[in-house]
Amino acid sequence: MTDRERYKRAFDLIGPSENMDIMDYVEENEMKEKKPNRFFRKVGAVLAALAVTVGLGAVAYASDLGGIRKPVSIWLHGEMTEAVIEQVGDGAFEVTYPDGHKRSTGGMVEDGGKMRGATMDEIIEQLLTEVDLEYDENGNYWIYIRDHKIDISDQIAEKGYAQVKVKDGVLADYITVVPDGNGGVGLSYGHFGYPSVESVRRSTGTF
Amino acid sequence: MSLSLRQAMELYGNNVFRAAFSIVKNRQDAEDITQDTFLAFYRSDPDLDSDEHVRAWLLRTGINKAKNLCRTFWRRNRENLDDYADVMAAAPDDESDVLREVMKLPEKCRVIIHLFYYEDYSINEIAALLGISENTVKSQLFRGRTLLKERLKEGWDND
Repeated sequence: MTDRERYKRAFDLIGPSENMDIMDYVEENEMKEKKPNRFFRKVGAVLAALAVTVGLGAVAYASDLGGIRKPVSIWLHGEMTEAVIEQVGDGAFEVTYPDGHKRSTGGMVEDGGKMRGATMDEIIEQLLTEVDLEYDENGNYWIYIRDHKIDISDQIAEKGYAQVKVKDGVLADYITVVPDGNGGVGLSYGHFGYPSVESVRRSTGTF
Repeated sequence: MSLSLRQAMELYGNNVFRAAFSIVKNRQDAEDITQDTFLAFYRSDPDLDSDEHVRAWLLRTGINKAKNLCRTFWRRNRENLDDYADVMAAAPDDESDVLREVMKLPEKCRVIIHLFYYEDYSINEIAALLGISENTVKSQLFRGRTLLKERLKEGWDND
């Protein structure tokens, strides 16, 4: 028997399982393609004392601040869009995005771990400073902050986390992105020296 | 394209799976890559004038996806999930020995060895398919064959 025959006999033993159905997979994904935001996953900011938010004054577009239900302009995937925030309980809020998707939020953690309900202003602040993470089909990582789209693939591959500085006003934003290995991500705002990556991991349960 | 999705899948589905498996060493990942490859084939509808070009396109795309997966942070940091032990357990000794030793080769060697021995590509075809030089193919092929000979001894002839 030649090496080639030997090799082919060995690899002929390996085949896909009966569960693999390419036609079904293609059909299913073609249907998904017709829906918006296919590759985007919304990533909530880490609402902890170590999350130092910045730059609010420049981009606070909230209106009708006296009511329970408030329209607000927020950044979503690099574009300014309209969402509605509704207070549904004590410190509990529901955000409705333009595509009808709803998201519950609320709750803050102070220094020392004490928890409390969030205020409407804090939720707006959170939405305005959130970072979107995109993991595309080519294996690249992108983050969106306001109208910036930044490729962090190399940093993630090299270090396991990424540190990004964004400056489009007087103040700069420093963001540390720490993927958790399960599709989630830990984020922290503040200068790269503080908090440390290790403390972000501890506080967000990543790794 | 010269082949429909179903025709391409029936002709080359296993080839893409095995090429991907030779890189990722994991059945589930290889299946995901195979499905993604055919999805890309369907979406991009490449203008290919022969079945042979379709095969090359599918293999190139599958191999690139497999390499990308191996480079990802998740993959490099998760536990080893190689899952060909079940195949080897059910295989005759000769085949399982070859499979085991091929899987131990460095990734760059492995894919070149696979394209050479399984897909019957020539050195210049492998170079074109992978976008590397013929000398790189030759050196990696030499390295892979030498390692297989050392490890398999009489089970590999370097013919």
